[in-house]
Amino acid sequence: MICDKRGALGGGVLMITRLLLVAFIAFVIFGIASVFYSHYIDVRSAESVIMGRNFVDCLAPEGIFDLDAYPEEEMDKMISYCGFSGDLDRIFARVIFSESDEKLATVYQGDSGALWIREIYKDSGVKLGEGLGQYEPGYFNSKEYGDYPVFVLKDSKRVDAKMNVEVLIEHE
Amino acid sequence: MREKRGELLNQVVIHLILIGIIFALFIMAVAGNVNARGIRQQIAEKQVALLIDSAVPGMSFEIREKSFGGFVHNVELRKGRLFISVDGYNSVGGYPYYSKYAVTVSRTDGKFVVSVK
Repeated sequence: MICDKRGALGGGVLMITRLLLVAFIAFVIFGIASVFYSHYIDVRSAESVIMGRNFVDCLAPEGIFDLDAYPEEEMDKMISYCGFSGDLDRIFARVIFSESDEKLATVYQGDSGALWIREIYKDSGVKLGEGLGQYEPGYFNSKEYGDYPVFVLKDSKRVDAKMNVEVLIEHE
Repeated sequence: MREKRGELLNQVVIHLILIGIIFALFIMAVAGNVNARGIRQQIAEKQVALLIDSAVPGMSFEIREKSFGGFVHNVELRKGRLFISVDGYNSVGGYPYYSKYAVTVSRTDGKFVVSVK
């Protein structure tokens, strides 16, 4: 009688162990499956183009950038200066105003190191799978389409210049 | 002898049930992905976030409850992120949007209205 009870108890323990083992295997299978079956929709390139246009509208409304009025201490806080808030850690934006080859002003915000990540993706030539490919940043550079012709007000003089806009948006 | 056979049968039945449960869960998880609630939810969030990014003051757009191939039961803005729930699939992290204007969401007559002021 005692032996039977012990046997039943042993059977129960064995059952729980099996149940835990099966649950663990199921958990691993679902984990792997969720990675393989998940699909990522990338809109960061579109986002970078939209933000590029927003920065142009902000800095050079009517096609004129007033460098004299732009605060010196805001040169590296361009996105905040334009009034954008939110998760700014994933954005790097840089705007360069230049006359011929001479730089008149550079305003920017964000970690320029993010450009290195993009370079790695671009230069590696390795086609990354969807899992890793989703970490490739979205990028816009107005140079590809032709920089914006603007006027820059500097030292109360109006200078013909080009406005180069670069926006990089990282994974959210 | 008979008891041992019975025990063996019991074990086999239990194993089959467990394997059945695992397969059922697996099929349900895969069906969920094929059904693509998550993808629809992702599309909804990202499309609306891009609209907010490019919106200027005075603009507003409507999201009907029956849209994105399902039922949108919540649209929310929180800490610079947009959260949209489609067909019971709740957004975990949301999607960030960038706007220098005040953006609000209101729910009226079976639709959500996102306004930029």
